Amino acid sequence: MEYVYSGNIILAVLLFAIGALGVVWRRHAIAVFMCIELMLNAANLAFVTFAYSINDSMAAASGSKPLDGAIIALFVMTVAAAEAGVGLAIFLRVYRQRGTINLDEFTLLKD
Amino acid sequence: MLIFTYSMIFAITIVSALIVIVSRNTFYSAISLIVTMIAIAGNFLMMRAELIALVQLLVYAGAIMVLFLFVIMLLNLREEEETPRSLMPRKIAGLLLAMIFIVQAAYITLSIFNIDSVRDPIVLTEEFNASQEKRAEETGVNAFAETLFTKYMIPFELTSVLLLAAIVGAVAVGLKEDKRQAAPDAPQANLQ
Repeated sequence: MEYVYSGNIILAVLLFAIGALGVVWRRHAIAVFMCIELMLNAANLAFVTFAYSINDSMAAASGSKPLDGAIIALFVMTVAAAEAGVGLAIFLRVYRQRGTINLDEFTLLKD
Repeated sequence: MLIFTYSMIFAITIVSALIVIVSRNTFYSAISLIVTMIAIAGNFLMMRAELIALVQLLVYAGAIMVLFLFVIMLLNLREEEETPRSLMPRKIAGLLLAMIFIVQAAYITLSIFNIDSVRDPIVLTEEFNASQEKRAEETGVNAFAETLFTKYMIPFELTSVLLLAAIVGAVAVGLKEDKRQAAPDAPQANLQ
């Protein structure tokens, strides 16, 4: 089953890169936000994969168990949920004031 | 057989993630992101992380993405138009960033993981079965709850405070302007 671990690490790397690419490419605030969620998901996947891939000798050497990484992933999910709630409320408010959520339009500090 | 399933999940994850960033329509992006999340839950299942897969489905594919879809519907969005000044340099910068991430992560991963350890998956020997059963016991829901409520008690409680703060913040930010003004002792917001 080792191929699942290696494959998942590669998958997490690719997903993170795709998310970073999307954050830079997309101009839509919600789309950028979704790409950030993608990156969080990739980090989660890497966490769980690294945690589950340790075997008994590694666990004895480092003192950590497979569950530790999985619980960190659970916390990451909670933080992502909180972040999504507040972020989307901010977008709604900005849309009400400015009539758009295209990130290129927000140049108040620049001008 | 298992490797076939795994390759399918892998391909679905990558393709749907690419659709998320390529699609011009934000709604399609959101739907595709849901597919990505479900595929990632499949990835967790392949590692026998059942609880994490379940939470991934419930929290991400369920709650968070429904929130996204609600906001997309509330905002009445047109398709994203590209402003001319931002075309090429940004795309090149994005590609560079992604390349740097991939190279860095590949370097770190290759220095940690031993590629030779990628063995033939069909090793259903007695020893393998025993280790799988032991692993399932170590990472089952019981063990999970025990660790979460003992070793990680304080972070868990702090998480509930964080969620409460997020609820209050979201309501405060999302409140309509006139309602905020109607409050008797609210300061007259004159930010414009």
